[in-house]
Amino acid sequence: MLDPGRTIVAIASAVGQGARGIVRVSGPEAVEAVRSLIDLPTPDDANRFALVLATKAAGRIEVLLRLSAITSGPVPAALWIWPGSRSYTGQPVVEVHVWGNPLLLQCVQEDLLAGGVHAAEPGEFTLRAFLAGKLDLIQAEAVLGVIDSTGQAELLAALGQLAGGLSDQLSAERTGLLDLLADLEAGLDFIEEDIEFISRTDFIGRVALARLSVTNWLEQAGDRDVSTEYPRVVLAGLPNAGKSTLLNALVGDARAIVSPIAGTTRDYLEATISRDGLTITLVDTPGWEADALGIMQHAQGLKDQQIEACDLVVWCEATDADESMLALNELAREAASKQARKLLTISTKADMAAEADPTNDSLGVVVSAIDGTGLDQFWGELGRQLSASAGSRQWLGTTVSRCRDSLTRCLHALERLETLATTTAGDELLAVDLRDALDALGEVTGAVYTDDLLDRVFSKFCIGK
Amino acid sequence: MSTDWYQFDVIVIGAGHAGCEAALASARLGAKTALLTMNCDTVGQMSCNPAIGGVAKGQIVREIDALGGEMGRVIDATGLQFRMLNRSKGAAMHSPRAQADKKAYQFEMKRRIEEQANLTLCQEVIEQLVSTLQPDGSHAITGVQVRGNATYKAQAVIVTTGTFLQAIMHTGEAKTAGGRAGDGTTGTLSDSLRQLGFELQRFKTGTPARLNGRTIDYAALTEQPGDPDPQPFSFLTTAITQPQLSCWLTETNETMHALIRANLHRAPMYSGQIQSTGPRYCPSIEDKVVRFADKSSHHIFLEPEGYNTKEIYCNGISTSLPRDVQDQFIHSIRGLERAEIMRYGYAVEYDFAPPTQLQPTLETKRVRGLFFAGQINGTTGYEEAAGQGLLAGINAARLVAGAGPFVIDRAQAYLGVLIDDLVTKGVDEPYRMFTSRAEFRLILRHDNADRRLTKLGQEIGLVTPDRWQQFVEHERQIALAQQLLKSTRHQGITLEEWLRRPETEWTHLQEMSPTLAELELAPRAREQVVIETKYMGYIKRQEADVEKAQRVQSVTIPANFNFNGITQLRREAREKLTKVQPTDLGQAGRISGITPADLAVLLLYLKERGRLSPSAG
Repeated sequence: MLDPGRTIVAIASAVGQGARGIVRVSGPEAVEAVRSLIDLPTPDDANRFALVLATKAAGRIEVLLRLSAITSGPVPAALWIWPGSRSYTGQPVVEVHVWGNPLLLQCVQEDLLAGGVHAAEPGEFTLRAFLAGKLDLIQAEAVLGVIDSTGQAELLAALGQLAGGLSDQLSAERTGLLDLLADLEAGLDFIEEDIEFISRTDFIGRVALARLSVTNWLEQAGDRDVSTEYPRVVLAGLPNAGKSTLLNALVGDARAIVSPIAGTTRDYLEATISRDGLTITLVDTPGWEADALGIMQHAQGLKDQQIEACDLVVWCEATDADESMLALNELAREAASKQARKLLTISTKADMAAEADPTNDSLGVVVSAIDGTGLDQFWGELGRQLSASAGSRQWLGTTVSRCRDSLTRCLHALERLETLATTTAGDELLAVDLRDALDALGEVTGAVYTDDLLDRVFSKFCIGK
Repeated sequence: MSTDWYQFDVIVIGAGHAGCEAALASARLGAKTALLTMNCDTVGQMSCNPAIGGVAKGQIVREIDALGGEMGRVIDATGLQFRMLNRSKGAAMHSPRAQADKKAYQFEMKRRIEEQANLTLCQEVIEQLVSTLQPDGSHAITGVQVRGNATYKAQAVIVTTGTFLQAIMHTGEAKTAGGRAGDGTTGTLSDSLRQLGFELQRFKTGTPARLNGRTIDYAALTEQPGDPDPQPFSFLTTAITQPQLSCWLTETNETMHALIRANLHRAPMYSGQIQSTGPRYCPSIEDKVVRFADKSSHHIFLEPEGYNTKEIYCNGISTSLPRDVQDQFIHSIRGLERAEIMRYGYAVEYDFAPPTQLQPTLETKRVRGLFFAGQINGTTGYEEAAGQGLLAGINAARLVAGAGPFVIDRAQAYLGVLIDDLVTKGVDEPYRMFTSRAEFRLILRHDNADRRLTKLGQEIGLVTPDRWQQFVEHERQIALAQQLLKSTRHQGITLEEWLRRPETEWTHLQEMSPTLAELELAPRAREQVVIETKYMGYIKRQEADVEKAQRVQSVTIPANFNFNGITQLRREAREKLTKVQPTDLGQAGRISGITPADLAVLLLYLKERGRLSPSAG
């Protein structure tokens, strides 16, 4: 699939019936392949083709297509043609726009395949765009994220990474640091000019700003477990709050696709669950000790646990809890909410509280794992909460697991730099740390070559599969 | 047809700073060498400022010396003021610089060339290069034809013509043919190079006015004396004993800037008379006034040109403005109100050959046995020229002797950075060395140039027995002292750890250990131990980076590799790689415009061709 000499085709518009649909063709033979589908080409068609092909910019032509499966007559289509390297993939691209009927789109694709064009593999257009320098790594990952996303939260994160300008922000920061390095180096190399290129105070200020940006990105990126790219949701609460029952209910739900439960050697259980288009990794934690002292100790130990690292904590409260438990519950929940990025409270064991009204707003989400009450509502709320945080996060799991080390290295270099700059250390020493920070940042966008870049990139494009 | 002919192994065209080093190295390595110059009275002449060294350039001179080159020893013998620049900064930034007695320098260099066995110095005007077509379609050099019906034959020819190819000098509206005031130009050689298929481009450089020192009011100027303890360039020079002269400091002013602005239309660079690119880093005063418009003043260094002349060089105000403007602005400067100009400033435009046409040995890719070195490769500066000359001379002699190429790594020397930058990135303005061009600046210091390179010089045969002995002794003392620092403890902590603390000095260590106090240690060896220990953390980090770079470099690319065969590569990438023909993945990555994605494709192709074939998709 690495051979851009092949001309490839794929249906580019979303599945479902829209006003119009698009079939995209990319490769050296793209124009010829589509031209061969035109019904009874007229001299006028040839002229219009020649006109578009003569310019480097994209051009649009209205034509009639003759499709082998459509015997009733020619089908009107609009062709968008990028004859040169200015297309998304950096090679000739033709988009065939027809009425948005899935069958019609398939007919166009099949005729192209029959004419020798290859079916694109997942991510192949993106790979070509990346190799042609049209996308950086972060953007490429985001595009793949959009394509691959199995749920709304993921899709939003992918779109956020693509459109939210994350790679622009990273590039801008890198450019800023490069300028800073240039100032530093100029001071070292142009000593005959009596120009102060940058004062130490300004230097420290600019490094501090960069450090804030990187810290911010690391926070946005979260420290999600590298083994998964799905949002992590942690179930927490006092003992006997119905956490495990809830987990088991979801796992046992016929509508859910569940991965094997892992983590028996650790002190928590986790399962990856796909249900109604949302995929999450759900983690069950042991209950909190049911006395005030235990709660405080537990809060101390939170850093070792999953709560800090996850996207959402679901705090379970049993509806059948007594007064003293409720007080403890408040204390524990407050401690947890301080540690968690986000916390959703739900009432469990709805079946045990006969008087509880499932529609009572003050109780928020109310579920019963036994009879399945409120599971849909719970799942929907989970999706809403995760989308909201994903939208502001802008980082995809795939990107995070690739970049976290680089970002952390960048942060450490900047921290060292900030400390060093307050001493009498020479600019030539500052330059070493600044270059380290720049290298690390360059690895994130793929602007700097690393030994394992190859593996990192190509593992994402299913090569060798 | 030619009637006379002479047989040599290596011919060097041009006897400037590149040509002299090239010829000496070649002759010393056993090649019968001819050094041909337009004028035997201008061998080793400093066309511009009377100084050697400076930031990054001083390091290069030390490297040339460590390899057995000549520049360091000649400036040590003829310098009239020595200063260690950047003394207030760390050791890696210390850069030696010396003002030269211009005439003494060139006479000393000429004498050394005359005394060199195996080397013939001749005054000749080159008409054209002579080459033969090889059976495989390539060209191989066979010699040069000179004016007066004579031919010099050789297996290798090194062209070091500096600024003399199709040179034109500009002073205001006045244009004169020639590469230096008082000298002519090398006209037909450009044609000869073009006929062989070489691409030539134009650069420009400039030089300031020279004044008569008798007419300068020194009382109004700031004196800038040399160092009280002048440090030599050459590792073989024990001490600088000649008396030192002072330089003098003054500055430009608003009146002068206004005058220049009012006359910009008469400056060839601005009137359109010169179209070529000049150096951004050594700008003319016109450029400074335009580009740093917010600065009301720039330094001017007044530098004596010799012990036996009153002529003064005005460093910092190179110009191509007309004579009348130069007269006026010189007189507006503090201390120069009544100064007389002896030579007017001028700009010179010249042909250079884009250096991506070279291999890392400085042999051209196009013609076997033909080497280019110095300003013809688009560089500026005596030191950069001399360094290239030395390496071209070594490689030409080795080619004749059938030995392999001699290429220095970027991690070994500024010379390695210089050559790699030239042949990999090419030049878009006259190339000057900066410390920031080196990835491993903390390792490439002037103080350890011998430790980095003398062993290499010994291996290729340029290092004399006295230099080698001195080097071995130096290393012995360092090893002894380092061993002692590691094995001796004071208050439970090794002396090495003590020394790493910023506040610890050598004398403190001597108080801690009587053995160390008694150790016979030359000041230079002691300095090495102190620097290497104080910098240890950083040196280790850079060494780790060097290793990382070497891993990428270990992926080699076969000679004459067909990059166009990798259809997966972007066309732009294929073109650039084909032009430069990098020898390894690291070099490929340094080509401007080659992205990490391109490298990934290239690596995949080099390592796992199978995965790229369509059938694997």
